[in-house]
Formats: sequence, C-alpha cells, structure tokens
Amino acid sequence: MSVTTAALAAMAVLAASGTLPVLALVGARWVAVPLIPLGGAVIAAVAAAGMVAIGGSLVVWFVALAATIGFVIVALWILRPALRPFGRGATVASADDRIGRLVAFTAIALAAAWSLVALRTPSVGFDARTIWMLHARWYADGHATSLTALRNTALFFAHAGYPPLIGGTVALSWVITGVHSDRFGVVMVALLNACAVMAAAWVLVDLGRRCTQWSTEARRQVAPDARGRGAGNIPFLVGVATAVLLVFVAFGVAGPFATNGYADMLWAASAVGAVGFGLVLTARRSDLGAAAVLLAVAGLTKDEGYVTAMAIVALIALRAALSSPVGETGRWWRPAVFGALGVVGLGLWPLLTRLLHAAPNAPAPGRRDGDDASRLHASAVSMAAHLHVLLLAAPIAVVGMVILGRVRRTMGLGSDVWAWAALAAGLGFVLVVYVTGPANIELWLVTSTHRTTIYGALLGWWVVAGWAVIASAHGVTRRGRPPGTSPRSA
Amino acid sequence: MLSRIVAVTLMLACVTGLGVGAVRGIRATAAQADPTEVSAWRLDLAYYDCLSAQVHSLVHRGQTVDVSMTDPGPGVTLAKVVAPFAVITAHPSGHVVLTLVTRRGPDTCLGSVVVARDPSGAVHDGRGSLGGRRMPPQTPL
Repeated sequence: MSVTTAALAAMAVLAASGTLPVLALVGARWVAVPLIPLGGAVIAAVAAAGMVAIGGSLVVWFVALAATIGFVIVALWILRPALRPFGRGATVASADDRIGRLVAFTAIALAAAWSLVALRTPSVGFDARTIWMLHARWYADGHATSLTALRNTALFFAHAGYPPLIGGTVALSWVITGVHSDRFGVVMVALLNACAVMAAAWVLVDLGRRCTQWSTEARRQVAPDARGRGAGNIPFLVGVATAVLLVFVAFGVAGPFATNGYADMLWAASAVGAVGFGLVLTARRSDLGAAAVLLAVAGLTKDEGYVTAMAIVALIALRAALSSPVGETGRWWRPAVFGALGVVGLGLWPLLTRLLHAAPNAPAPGRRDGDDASRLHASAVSMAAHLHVLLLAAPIAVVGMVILGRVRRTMGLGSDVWAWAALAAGLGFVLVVYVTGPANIELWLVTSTHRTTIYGALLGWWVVAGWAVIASAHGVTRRGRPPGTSPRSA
Repeated sequence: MLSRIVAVTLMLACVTGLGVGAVRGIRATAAQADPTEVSAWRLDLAYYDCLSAQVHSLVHRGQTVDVSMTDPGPGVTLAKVVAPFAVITAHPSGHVVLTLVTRRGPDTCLGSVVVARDPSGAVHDGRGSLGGRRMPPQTPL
C-alpha cells in the first residue's frame, strides 16, 4: 500500500469515528468537514490514554470508544429529535448562502491542499523521530511496551509524558493500514495540521456571513424595499478572501514544521480556531461545540497546548458568565461548571502521567545560566523576532476597538480583548517556562522559539483578518443607523 | 462618515498586510518543495535507513541495550534509530553497548558506523552501507 493510499484509508477511519460526535457538537456545517478527522484523532488519543493506563490494544480501545460514543449520540437523537443536526432545529439557508459557503469551502480546501505541496520533500524532523513517531511505535506495540517506555528514564529525549494525540493517531494509522513508516506518520500529522488550519480559517467565513447579515439589516432599515444584498455581500467576500490568505500565512508561519511531523502547528492552529469560535463569534451552541473539538485537539497534542487550552476554556467561561443575565436562575453558574469541567478534562492526561510515574521530560540543553531578569530579556527578544505580526495587529486592534468597538458589540461579537487575553496566556506561559526553566537559555531559545511562537503569530494574523471583515461590514453600511445601535452610538 | 473612511482604510490595511504575509507564506512553502530540499531529505531518510539496517544486524527486536551518550550528538542520532524497536536502558551493566562512531571507508553510512560491545567485551560492527561523498545530516540539539 502506498503512503497516499494509506493516508486516505487512515483519514477515512478517523472520519468514520469522528462524524457522529462532531455532528452532534457542531451540527451540519461546512466547518464540520475538517473537524471530523480531528474528532477522530481525539478519540484515538483517548484510546491511547486508556490503553496505556488500563491495558489492551489501541485498536480495541478505539473501536470500543467510537462505537460507544456513536451509540450514545444516536440514542440521544432518537430520544430528542430537536438535537439532530438535520432535524427541525437545523436552520434553513438560502440557495445563495449555500452556494457561497460551498465556494468558500472549496477555496479554503484548495489553499490548504496546495500548501501541502511541501510534502514532496520527504522530511522527518528531529522531534518527529525522537518524540512523535517514537510514541506512535509504543502505542502500536500495546500496553506493556507503552507503559515501560513511559517510565523509562533512559529515553530522556522522548518527552514520554507529552499528550497522546499524535502518537495515538499515527499508531492507529499504522496498525489499520499495515504501513509502519515514519514518512506515513509525518503525512498524517500534516493532514491534521491542514484540517486545523482550515477550521481556524473558516471562522472568518462565518464572521463574514454574520457581518453580511448585519450590514444587510442595516441597509434595509434605510431602504426597507431594497432587494438582495448588493454591496452588503462584501463582508462575506472579505471573509472568504482573508480565510484563504490566512491558510497561506499559516503554512508560511509554521514553515517546515507544518510538514515534517512536528506537533506545534497542530495545537497552535487548533487553539486559534477555538479562540475564534469561542471568544469572537456570538458563542452559539454550535460555535462552542466547534471550540470544544479544537480545544480537545490542542489540549491532547502538546504541553503548551493543554495549558493554553485551559486558559481559553477559562476565558470562554468568563465571557459566558459575564454575558449571562444577572439574577436569572440557573444561568450564571452554567459557564462556570462547564469551564471547570473543561479544565479538569484537559488536565486528565498530565494527571495520568503522574499517576503512572512517567519519566520526566528531557532536561533542556545545558545548565541553567543567568538570573531571571536576564533570561526574561533574552526570551522576550528571541520570541519577538518571530512575532513581527503583532506590530501590525496591535495598532489595528487599537484603532478597530476605538472606531468599531461599538459596532462589534452590536453584532454580538466578542471583544478583541478576549483574543488578546488568549494570546497573552499562551505566550506568557512559554515565557515563564523559559525564565524559570533549567536550561542554557541561549541554546534553548535558538532551538525552540521559532516553534513556540507559532500560536502567537497565527493568532496575531487571525486578529488582523478578523478586523478586516468587521471593518468591511461597517464600511459598506453607508447610510442610516446600524441595527442595534442607539442614535448616540451611530 | 469619518468612521466609515477609517473602517475602509482599516480593512485595506488588514487585507494588504495579509496579502503580503500570504505571498511570503507561499514562497516559504514552495521553497520547501525545492528539488534541493527534496534531495537533502532523501539523503536524510537513506542515512537513517542505513543506520537502522546496521542496528538491526546487531540487536534483535525488544532487546535491552545501552546507547552511549559520551558524545551526545551521535548518541541521540543513534538513539533515534534504536528506540523504535529495542529497549534503551539507563542501567548499562550487563547489556550490549551501542556506539555511533565516525570512520572513513566502505561499509559505513556516509562515514558513520554502529559498533556494539558485548558484556564479554567482544566488539562487532553493524552491517549496511550508504556510499557517497556527502556529509551525514546535521543533528541539531
């Protein structure tokens, strides 16, 4: 079996397991397409965790989990038809909407497919060999091998305690296809990367669509008999254009780490998508479902991923709590409970590795040098070299919040402050680790900041793209008052 | 009116910035598919395949071995090849010790040879070779 055929087969298996849970959480939306294999990867990660902790084989765990989850969802849909993604609760879109979104999805998918051209180069990165493909071999060999390896202090370079999504997915792909090459594993990681980037980009399409609805409503207030959308479609078009551009930007930011088996782009793009769905869009149930899938991916991919995902969960819960009507019985505490459950869920893998006495992560290279202040300075300088986009995003965000902040609120969108808080949380954690960590700081920074800043850079670019869409909506609302604004705010 | 002018200007600035970023991204992505890159990484794959063949000629699957980290660079390179199928131990006593050494001549992987030292003291070289005058890939730490 060729690597291409094996990759298609493995993606089909991931999709088969991920379809029902993703449809249940997200509904029948285009963004479900890239989320479905990611949902399958989450199930593979949970299967790997169960296999390591309890016993058995990865495939048995995967099949059992997928079947159980599918059974529960189908039972739920039978008992409560309103929850079905294609049932009466589903919204009916116009033909224009459907065609527009089909074109948007095709454009984003083509951009992602082209960006995978780098897979022509058969690169297997350093960490791909020492960490991710190695974990996959443990998981593919079953419980005993995995547990022994997890506890083996001689494998100091293998970061045995890193979360199991990539290892679990690659191991599953190897076992079900019989193709056990590192090259195949790298291709699977690249495909997951592309799915995560597509999901993050799709938020902009949804944003454009909602801005189009808002600006169309604004124009109808001025001219109630106006037909069609005309210039009101511009926000949607800007949303599609920026989404496509963001895909190319994302693969450029990640560089070789998008297609050489590293985990950094996967968690970073997933976290950026979660910020978009959970902290920027209007936080409908479906948006929160998409954010949940992406947060699970980020949290099960890498240590920085689960810490950042926890911060994003906390921010989503805080946003929801603040927007809940004060005093309404049964509302205010729900975000706190869901947020706490999310944080606990994301913390299960690190807890499990402690309970299983996993070997500690590799000591970063060299002996600790410098004091905290000098390390902070060196770290900030090194990270800043990869975050030039923030010099563009920050002033745009300031101008946007001053000029368009009220418009943004009337659209029901989250403040940009939420996105910046999520960005600060992710980068802040990395900075603290550099400052307080054990290693020779110069060597550590040289070998890592180009990857640990991918999340910050991607989110910076996403913020820029988001403001482009929102500004286009305000720009085409030429006369009259935008809906939802008071005369003073117009 | 002013706010709409600012909004349009903001949109153009954002789209322009994204456009520049996208062009750079496309160039960076295309550069990775460059024939030079393809050739270099094919050599990398062949190098590791060669080392893997040498290790397989010395160690059986699941065997417990010690990988010498006296020189960390070659040590980690060798560990990457050994770890997928053998058990690397932190307690070297009584186990085969594998070392990656540099040696000119035939029967090497671009000048690298895996050497096994048995607990009895016997030394064996791995079998498998990759010829050519190119240097083995760098091992960044």
